[in-house]
Amino acid sequence: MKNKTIKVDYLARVEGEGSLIVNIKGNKIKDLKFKIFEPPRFFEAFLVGRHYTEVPDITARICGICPIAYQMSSIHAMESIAGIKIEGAIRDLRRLIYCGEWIESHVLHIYLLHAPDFLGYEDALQIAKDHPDVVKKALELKKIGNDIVNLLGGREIHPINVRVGGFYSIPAKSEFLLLLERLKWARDAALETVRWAASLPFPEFDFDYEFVALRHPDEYPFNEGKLVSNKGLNIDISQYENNFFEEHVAHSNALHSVNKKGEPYFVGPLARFNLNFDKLSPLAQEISKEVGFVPPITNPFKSIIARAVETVYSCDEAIRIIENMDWNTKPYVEFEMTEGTGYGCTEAPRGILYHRYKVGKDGLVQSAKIVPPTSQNQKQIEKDLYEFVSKYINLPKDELQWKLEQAIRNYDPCISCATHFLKIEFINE
Amino acid sequence: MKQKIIGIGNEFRSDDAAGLLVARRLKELYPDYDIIESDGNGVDLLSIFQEYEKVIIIDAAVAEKIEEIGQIKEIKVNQDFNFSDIKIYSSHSFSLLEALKMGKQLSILPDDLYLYLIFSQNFSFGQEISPEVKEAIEKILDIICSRHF
Repeated sequence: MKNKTIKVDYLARVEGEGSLIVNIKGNKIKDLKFKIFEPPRFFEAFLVGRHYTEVPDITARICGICPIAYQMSSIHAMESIAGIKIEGAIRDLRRLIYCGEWIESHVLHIYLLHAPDFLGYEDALQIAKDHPDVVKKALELKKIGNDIVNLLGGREIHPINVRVGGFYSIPAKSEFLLLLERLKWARDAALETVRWAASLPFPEFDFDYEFVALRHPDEYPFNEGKLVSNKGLNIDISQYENNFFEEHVAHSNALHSVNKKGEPYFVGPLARFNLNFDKLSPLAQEISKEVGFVPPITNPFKSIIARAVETVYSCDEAIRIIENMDWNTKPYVEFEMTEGTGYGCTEAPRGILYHRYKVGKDGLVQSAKIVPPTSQNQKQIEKDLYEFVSKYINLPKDELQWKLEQAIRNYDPCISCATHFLKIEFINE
Repeated sequence: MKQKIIGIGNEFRSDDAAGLLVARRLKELYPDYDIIESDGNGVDLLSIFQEYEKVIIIDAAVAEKIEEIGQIKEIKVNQDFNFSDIKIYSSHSFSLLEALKMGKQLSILPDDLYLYLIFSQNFSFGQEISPEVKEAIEKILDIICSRHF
């Protein structure tokens, strides 16, 4: 019997540390594990005993790429305990800062992390060599996202201006207006990105996924909505833990999430796109139709197009918000905190991010639960890998390995959030 | 000339905070100057390179030998830096060195790009700064204030 081992010490272009082991015997997969060995980070434990006002800033440290998502899920959970609902300009500004985070995160992933897979490059440095103008444009586009987050978030890293009830302060109107012209340029650049992404070569790989995302009656979801799926799920976010369960598997430091049937489900840009296409702005819908990208899309490799469409939407929405802003708003609403349990679920760039907190009379956190999108996608990623190897088992070893890494990146996994670098080992007996 | 000063580091990894501490002190001295703190994200640094004509970066670096702790090094990137020597060791992160290499490839490095390195060996969890690094921070402040303001 022929033994064959492929070993890649580090899977590049994912956030965090993990590995993949594929054991093929003859023409059958004997074992396949997507392992996450980054150590647990214990955020839920050390939030206990902290004041509820500290939670947005503490949880923001979970992720360097999507701190806003952590802030948004936590503040909505706290506000549900206080019994307040934020409307008007503050609500719009929360959508605006989320637009910034989606733009920076999506552009980073599209051009610098995922594009090399489609174009046959090892990394973004090689793209920069052959296509410098593409990379320069991507950097400029990403920076507009950063600048929105910086402006509203208060500083370059680890934003601190978000609070329960609103913002600590609202920057001057003139600073937002400076962003407008750049956002219009960015929207055009994002439209080009959609056309480019749609022209990439995609492997044939379609499955009957359960896509799960927020859905709001009036808008494409960032902060609010019900949890829905293409398989009939339609629940309030407070029912999340009655419908989704976390299980510990020996090979991962991140918990696997499953639905009621014990099956994996799919969260992220493609899920949002499939479930909320009608809520995209007219321009985002138009460009999707122009490139033939309309729901249902069931090929996870096409997530790169969904990210590009959402970048168009984020620019469009940011422009709408700035142009229609009521500049005389107070930065936050006054409220009295009460004891109780609250839930928050918002759409991080990589998918739904669920938070639940129990807060006591003294305002201190008694318990916390955080379920990031990557841990929800983890089981689905593993299933995709299994299906891909099954379907393409005869591909040359190097090509198969390349595609498997690409398949993992379809989900833009943030392993740091889920617990975290990928080491790939094939054992072909 | 559009200028920016960037202090890079992690304030919870002991001496790695050196760059941030220099940036904070400079901000107190020159509140109107464009000075920021950064976690060293290379992609964001590239965006800054694209936009500015003069950039000064302060960062902590790993001392090979114990006697190098607290030493400082000034590098004028476009003159003193050998880009072919930059090996990309880490494939999952994109940090300062990768940003310098890609910036060179894209021809977007600022004309004046200074790198000030403070050497240390203590990057463990914590917020204590080594006495040698504290001294180095004062020296770098003097150098930057006298040469760049």
